[in-house]
Amino acid sequence: MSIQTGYLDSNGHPRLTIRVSGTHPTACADIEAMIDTGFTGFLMLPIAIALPLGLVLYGTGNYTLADGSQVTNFLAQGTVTVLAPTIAPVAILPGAPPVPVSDLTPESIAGTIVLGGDGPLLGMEFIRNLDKMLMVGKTVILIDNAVLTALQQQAVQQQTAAAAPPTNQP
Amino acid sequence: MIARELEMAPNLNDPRAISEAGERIYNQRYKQDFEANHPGEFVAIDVIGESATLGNTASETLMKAKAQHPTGVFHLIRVGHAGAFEVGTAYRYVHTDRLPRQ
Repeated sequence: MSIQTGYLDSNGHPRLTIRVSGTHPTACADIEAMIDTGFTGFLMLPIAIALPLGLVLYGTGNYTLADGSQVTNFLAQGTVTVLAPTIAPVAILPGAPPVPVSDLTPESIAGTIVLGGDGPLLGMEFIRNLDKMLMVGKTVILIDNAVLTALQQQAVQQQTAAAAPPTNQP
Repeated sequence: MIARELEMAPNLNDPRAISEAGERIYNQRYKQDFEANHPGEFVAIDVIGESATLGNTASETLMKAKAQHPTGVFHLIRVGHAGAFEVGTAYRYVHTDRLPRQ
């Protein structure tokens, strides 16, 4: 169980630090990707960053821009690993057993990368495939679904205890 | 790849040529059936072998297509949509025309 944090950049856009890798065993790129919920794909990556990574080329796909125009780009397969700083859930779950930060494994997801654009964009397909909930406010937080489930159970237990009639002491 | 396929194949260095070939194959062979029976799903059209692979997400569809046709070159289409993806809020990040038109 873990909580990971991203950040808001100087323009107020949410960003996550991610590692993108392809088929090459050692080639990878650590990048600051913007989270764009208006992008329906997985990851968009400028060609200059993508080429050295040995991504597996699939072919092409079209995407529709806000003005309705179509752009064609090459598509490739790659893997994204979230590198955002990780903290253990001790602070928000008093009853949870402490989890050493070193035991937390980063989550990697394989997906389709659109080769193009001026900057790296993480889209909705990436967010849906994460086993985490993404929260964006004054900061960016990724919470494991397991933590959320534990929180919900804790809240239900507290509500049940509060609703229970007081026991009469003899 | 047989000689006939090489003759029919689009210029694989040109993404627009691959896209146009994929759209042409889709419109001729699959569009009517898929728009009736698989709206909203993704389809990867192999522009070499002209096969079609369906899936629920872009990544799932392309991984399945690559596994079934390892030498294929695919054009991804979302059934019933103008493009496979949409980019709404970050227009300036993806505009490929760096020189504004006068």
